[in-house]
Amino acid sequence: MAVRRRVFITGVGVVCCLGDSLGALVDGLSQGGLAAGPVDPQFLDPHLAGRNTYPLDRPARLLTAAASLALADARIPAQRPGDRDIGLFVGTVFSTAHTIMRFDRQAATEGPALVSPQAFANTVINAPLGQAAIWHGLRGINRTFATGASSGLEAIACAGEVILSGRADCILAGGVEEVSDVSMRAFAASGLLSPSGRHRPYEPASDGMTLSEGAALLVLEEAGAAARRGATVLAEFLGCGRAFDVSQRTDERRSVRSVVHAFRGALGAANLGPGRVDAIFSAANGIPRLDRHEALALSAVFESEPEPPAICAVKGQIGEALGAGGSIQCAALIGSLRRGCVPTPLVVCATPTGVVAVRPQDAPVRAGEPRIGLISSLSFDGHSSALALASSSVSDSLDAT
Amino acid sequence: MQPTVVVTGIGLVTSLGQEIGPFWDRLLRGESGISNVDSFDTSRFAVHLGGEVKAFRPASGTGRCDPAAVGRASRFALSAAAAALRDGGINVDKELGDNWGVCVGTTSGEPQEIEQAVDRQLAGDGDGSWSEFLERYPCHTIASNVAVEFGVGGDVSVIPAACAAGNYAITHAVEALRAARAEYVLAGGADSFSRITYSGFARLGAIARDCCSPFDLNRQGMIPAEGAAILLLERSDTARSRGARVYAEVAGCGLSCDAHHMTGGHPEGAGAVRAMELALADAGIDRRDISYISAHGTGTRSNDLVEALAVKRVFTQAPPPISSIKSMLGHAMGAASAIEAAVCALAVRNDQVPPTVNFRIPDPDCALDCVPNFPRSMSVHVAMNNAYAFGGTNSSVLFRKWKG
Repeated sequence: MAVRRRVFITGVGVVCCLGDSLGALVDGLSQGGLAAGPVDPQFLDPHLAGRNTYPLDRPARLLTAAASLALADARIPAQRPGDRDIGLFVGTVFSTAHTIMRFDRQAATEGPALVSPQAFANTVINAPLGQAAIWHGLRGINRTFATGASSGLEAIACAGEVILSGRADCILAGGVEEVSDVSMRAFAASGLLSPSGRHRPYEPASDGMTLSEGAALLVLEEAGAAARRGATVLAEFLGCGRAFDVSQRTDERRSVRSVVHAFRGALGAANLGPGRVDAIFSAANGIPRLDRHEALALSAVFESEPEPPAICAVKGQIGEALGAGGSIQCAALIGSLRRGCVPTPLVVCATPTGVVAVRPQDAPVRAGEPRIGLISSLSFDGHSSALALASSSVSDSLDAT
Repeated sequence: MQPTVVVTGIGLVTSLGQEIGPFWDRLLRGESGISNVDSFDTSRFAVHLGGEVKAFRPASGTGRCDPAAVGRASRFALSAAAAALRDGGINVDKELGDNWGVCVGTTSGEPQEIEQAVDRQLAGDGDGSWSEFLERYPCHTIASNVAVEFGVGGDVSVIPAACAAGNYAITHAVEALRAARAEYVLAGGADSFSRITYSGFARLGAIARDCCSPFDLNRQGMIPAEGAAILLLERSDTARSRGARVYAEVAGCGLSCDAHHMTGGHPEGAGAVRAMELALADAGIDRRDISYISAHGTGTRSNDLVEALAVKRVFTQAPPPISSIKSMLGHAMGAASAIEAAVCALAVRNDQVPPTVNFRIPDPDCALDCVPNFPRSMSVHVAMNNAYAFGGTNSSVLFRKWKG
């Protein structure tokens, strides 16, 4: 019987409101500050220096910068023709909607003869991927994913599955999202944004979420390929699960069931019992209904465990970056596994009345270094995804289980 | 050995009709779905032709998803999915369940929602409809709407891969079926006619004034179009056990990226060559066994040139017949390669291939057998579906005759 292929994560690139490195992300989360919002130019521009950025709109710049950081972190040199093919999988919700709207407004007001061909190239939804692939010479398998707010996690999950299947050896995978007037107006009108700006994951009194932006890409690499080039292993991709709630979050029972299905799918694909999970970097973003569904699912899957996993709701600090959100959660988990601690852990549990409570961080959570973690993403439409990662220090011992 | 994936249902929305039989007959007769654009005013353009779906009659579904509450691409996808399920003999009275997936490719998602938002802004009617915009615009809603309509609880995704998106979605579905992450997937593509797309291609000088004539010496360009195609894909063992009629096997898929130019192909067709070779390797098929190629064949000078070059690099001995149905339908963007996938499945099943119409003078730089103007009855053992796209995106998917 063929030996099961394994997938290692050998590099991470992240550009978000907390900074442009794993260290800055984990430090920022640990310090507990609120930073949701746009990415500061100081975290973006240096990673694009020395090249012509004119053809790239903001989503393309965010993604290209994250790819620069990820490739550098993995010590993969600039690609030349004839090098092995590196793939690129990217999740997004709005992608270049801001560019598209500006293009159409110009065509409508000034006439179609005066629009910019360059702007037109950026009106396809996969434009950020195309621009980043050109910039970095990424000629392998590629795919843009649109599964709502789970897009970025779905891109990483699928990249891991494609490498496991043997169709690729190395894929950069993650998500990108810009905050633009399009996404701001759309979400503001929907009533999902927190009027107070105090988005509080899992708190029933929270009044909504805060939009954020950024990009994160992981370098996923087949274990043998990583070993041959002497790559440093940051974590191992173990597996993922996904489900769709056809009630689109209107029926709590069905919504919770689909989130449970995603969590159990990830555990099953990773061949892990729930007791092995040390930390969960969850999707909660301060929208009470969705947070409650996820909390109920967490309780259903993990409540019988003697030591519950620590829950880390990073969107409480960095906001909801939509298509980039799941990939930034992945980066935060990998940073935490590397550092050996979980920033601002919570414990989520269901009370006998069915109400979900959150205990602050002085409540008991699993002691010791986190070794195995889950990341979850929920879309407002009904997508649920969960993905399991192991720290590099334990991935070898998993073979024996 | 990995499971075999087969096509057991086809649903179409095209400018040449929605029913498989009449659509196929019209393609073989070389009829045109091209007409003057109705959906917006083209008086400021130098070109006026499009492949709009002017007599759209939605196939009936379950009514769980309100077609009035979704965008045009979603309405196309819902109709094509309903037709594919009916064609595949699937009862949709009950929800399909967790072992089903939906994967839809698209170029622009729901661009008409952006256009309407711009029109509202220009009319000074600014903020009223943004909540509706959130529910209708983001492209992932196309697959979500299909999932809601038919009760699909598994992998539900949209793959925006511009004009190769249909092939991309089919590839994603094949991967899911081979890995047993799903038992059935509705996979294809959908795009609506868009003044954004039309403005952009017109600005590039890429739209034909008179007709689309791929591989012809005097070809003028492409003609934007719209539509959808959804294939019902499943593993051959489930198809066999439920006694399903099989159109063809999806034998292999290859994807690559040029990483060269956003709107133009690689000058030597490097990525296109890699996609074809990857698909052949994935299927374990020798290139000499390819009977027919459904070309990307947009009819622009640059696409046809690079595509012909790439095909001749892969098929050095004798390239198989290669035709472009875009000469009849126009270029339905993200739906195009899904419609062409359906055509490949039908070609393999029927042993007939549709022509490239409007062909008069061969372009010596594209010298290929493009099945000029008349259909051909021939044995089609394996059909290769090629599609290329903005972003340097390349795809090839192989459809093999199913012998049960």
